Amino acid sequence: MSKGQRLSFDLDDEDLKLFNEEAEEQLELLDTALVHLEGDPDPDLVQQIFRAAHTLKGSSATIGHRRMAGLTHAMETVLDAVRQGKLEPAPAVVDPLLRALDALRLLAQEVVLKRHSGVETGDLEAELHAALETEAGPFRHEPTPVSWALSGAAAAEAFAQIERGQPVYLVHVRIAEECQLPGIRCYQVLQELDACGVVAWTEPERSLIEAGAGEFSTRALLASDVGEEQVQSALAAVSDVGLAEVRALTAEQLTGVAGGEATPLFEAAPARAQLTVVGRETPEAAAAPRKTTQSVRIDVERLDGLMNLVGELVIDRTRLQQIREQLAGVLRQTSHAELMENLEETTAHLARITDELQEEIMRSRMLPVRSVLTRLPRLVRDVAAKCGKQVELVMAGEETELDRSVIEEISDPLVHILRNAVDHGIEPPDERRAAGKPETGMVSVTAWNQEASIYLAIRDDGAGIDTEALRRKAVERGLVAAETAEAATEEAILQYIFLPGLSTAKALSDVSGRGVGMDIVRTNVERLNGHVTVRSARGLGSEFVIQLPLTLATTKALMVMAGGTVYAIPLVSVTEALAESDADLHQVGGKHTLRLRDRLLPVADLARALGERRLAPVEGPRFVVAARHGDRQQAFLVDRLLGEQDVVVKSLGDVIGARRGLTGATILGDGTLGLIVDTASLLSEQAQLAATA
Amino acid sequence: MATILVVDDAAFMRMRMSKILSEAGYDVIQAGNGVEAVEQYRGQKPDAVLMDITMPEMDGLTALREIRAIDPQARVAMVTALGQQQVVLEAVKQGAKDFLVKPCEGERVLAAVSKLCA
Repeated sequence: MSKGQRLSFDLDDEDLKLFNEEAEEQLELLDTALVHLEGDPDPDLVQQIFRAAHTLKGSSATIGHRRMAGLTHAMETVLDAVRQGKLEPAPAVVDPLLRALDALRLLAQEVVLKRHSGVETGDLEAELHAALETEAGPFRHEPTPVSWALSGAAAAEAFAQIERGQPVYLVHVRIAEECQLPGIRCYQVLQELDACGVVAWTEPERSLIEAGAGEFSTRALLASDVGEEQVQSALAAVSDVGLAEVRALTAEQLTGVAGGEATPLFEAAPARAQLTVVGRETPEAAAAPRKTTQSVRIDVERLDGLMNLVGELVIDRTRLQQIREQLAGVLRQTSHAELMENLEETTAHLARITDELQEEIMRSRMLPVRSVLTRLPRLVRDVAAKCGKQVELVMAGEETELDRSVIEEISDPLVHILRNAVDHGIEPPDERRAAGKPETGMVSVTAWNQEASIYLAIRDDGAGIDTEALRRKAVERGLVAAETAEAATEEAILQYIFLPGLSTAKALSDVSGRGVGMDIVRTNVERLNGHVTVRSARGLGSEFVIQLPLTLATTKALMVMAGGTVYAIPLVSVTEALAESDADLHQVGGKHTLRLRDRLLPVADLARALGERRLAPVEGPRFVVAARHGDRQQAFLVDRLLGEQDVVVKSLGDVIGARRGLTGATILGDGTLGLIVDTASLLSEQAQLAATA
Repeated sequence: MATILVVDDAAFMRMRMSKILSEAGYDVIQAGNGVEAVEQYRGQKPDAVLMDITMPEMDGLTALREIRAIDPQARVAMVTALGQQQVVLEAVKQGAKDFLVKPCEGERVLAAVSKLCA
């Protein structure tokens, strides 16, 4: 077998999807968890890692992926030894596991690409086996089957029961839908099962059921010496029991390990949901009860489809509100006042429901930011190792949710800032010691939610950004005029870090110097309608804060008319909108400026700024809209203000092809097209124009 | 035929329950509060009890406890309004065999009673 050679596996397209999703999930878990194996790991964590390797082994064996199954088997063997306390997870043990994980990613990809990745597993397997011999002497692997959702004692009890030749039942009870207090029925079911034998496991867990928080579905594992029918009739004594399945299990079914094939009997709550292994948890997060909710997988395309439909609905709602307003005048004067009232009531209701529906669907597209953060511990470990630094990564707010479209885009900027923090921010251990700091530096990534924005802060307790070096570089490279740089405040100089073509690293290092600078970070973040700010103090560290909108699918906008076209200016960037006659407009050096709270803002005609050439002369009063992005501010002249509106963003490519200064288009209530202004790019373009003029 | 004790401080509820049960052929005795219910239970040993929760003098939960003290095998179903989940849960923990949520349809009452008497 060699690289590129075509491979075929024993699975159809549907299975492939499932295989992929599962593999991705397990690999991600391994990614997060493996680096925390070193030292004195939490037994639950070891158990989770073991289970992930085990699951991967099962599924790869099922589809006939021999190398993947072989490698995961070797990992499983090592992890089992760790799990049983027979092997200490020293670096000599963890390193080969991490290398195996890297290979696993490629092996899993082979299934999708149906091509050989060139990865052979023999050496890695040998390394893993060698790790087994490292400390505890020759080690013989004794496979102990592990059950899926049972904790140690409960599992032992259940196995002992089966060994005694007595049945262990998997019980699944559904409470009839019309039942008004399912929680109590659930408790009654538990009472009946308790009377039948030993209940080793329940879902939801026992404490919840006992608190009356059970739901319509309950599952339990019952070790009992009574027959199946007796269990059935005990359950039937409870009112509202709709369906009761009682199934005796064999030892193989109990372990979920039947002939190497993984059969999860109990789909426990996703392991990742409980996995907060990274750094210190904030007290609030630790105290917050873990909510177990039921979930289904939904195709992202389907969600996008739903979002589009809701978008249409939002448009219709807006249109309906407009019609209502138009009708109001006419109908009130006639005898149709009541009809009008009805219409108003219905429109208001429709508007509320549409809002809620939109919100719900938006929420369903949200993913916890954890899915991006999971990769970071590994990244930090690798980067720190490469630059000879000691770094502890602390993460908080992993539950914070973001629209999946935003999540996909934010990963690169985040990774870049974090690399920089470790590579350039944190000092080498000896320097830190000399500066009176702990040798191990700290980098933190914190996510939180505030109003309609998500914030991601990346902080380090390193040397801080050398503003002198920044100032010099910016001038040397001709990015900033010498006299401007000379006069600039520390704060202003810090912003130079975002200038294209600037790199502060003394030498391009292997880690960060890949030709991607902070300017790309800023561009990427701004493309998401977000912005990034930096603060830094010499000797104390730096902080980057990325602010992002919750979703990209809809946005609140101020609708304006300019040059005969309707534009939507995202409300996040609008600071002021006023009649031209009320605006404090001046001519400064031949340029129009607006004085707004002690600041002078350049004024431009919006339609002209967006490249409209043939403009009809405007009659009547005009308006001024002040917009802000990052620290840039600018005022635009528009013909009319049309009010605020929720707009559904459609890509311009779909509609008229890309145009500068615009992010997209939206269909207005009356069916015409509105253009969504890209404040970020428009403002930076205007600033450049002003600089060159 | 089995004897059922209907306990409720609202005469209308007692009457409705009694009617449903008598029409199905049960013998019905009544009590207007917990104290009466305990007395009736001691004197008549009914086969099953339908017990309201919120009542003057002695509430349903206390009455349940006292009746279970007299007869640990007592078969009692609580009759509850929505919003009393915690009390019902407590009652079930203390030995109530079932519960009915008001307003109760005849069919559900009969199903519960026949289950209790089984």
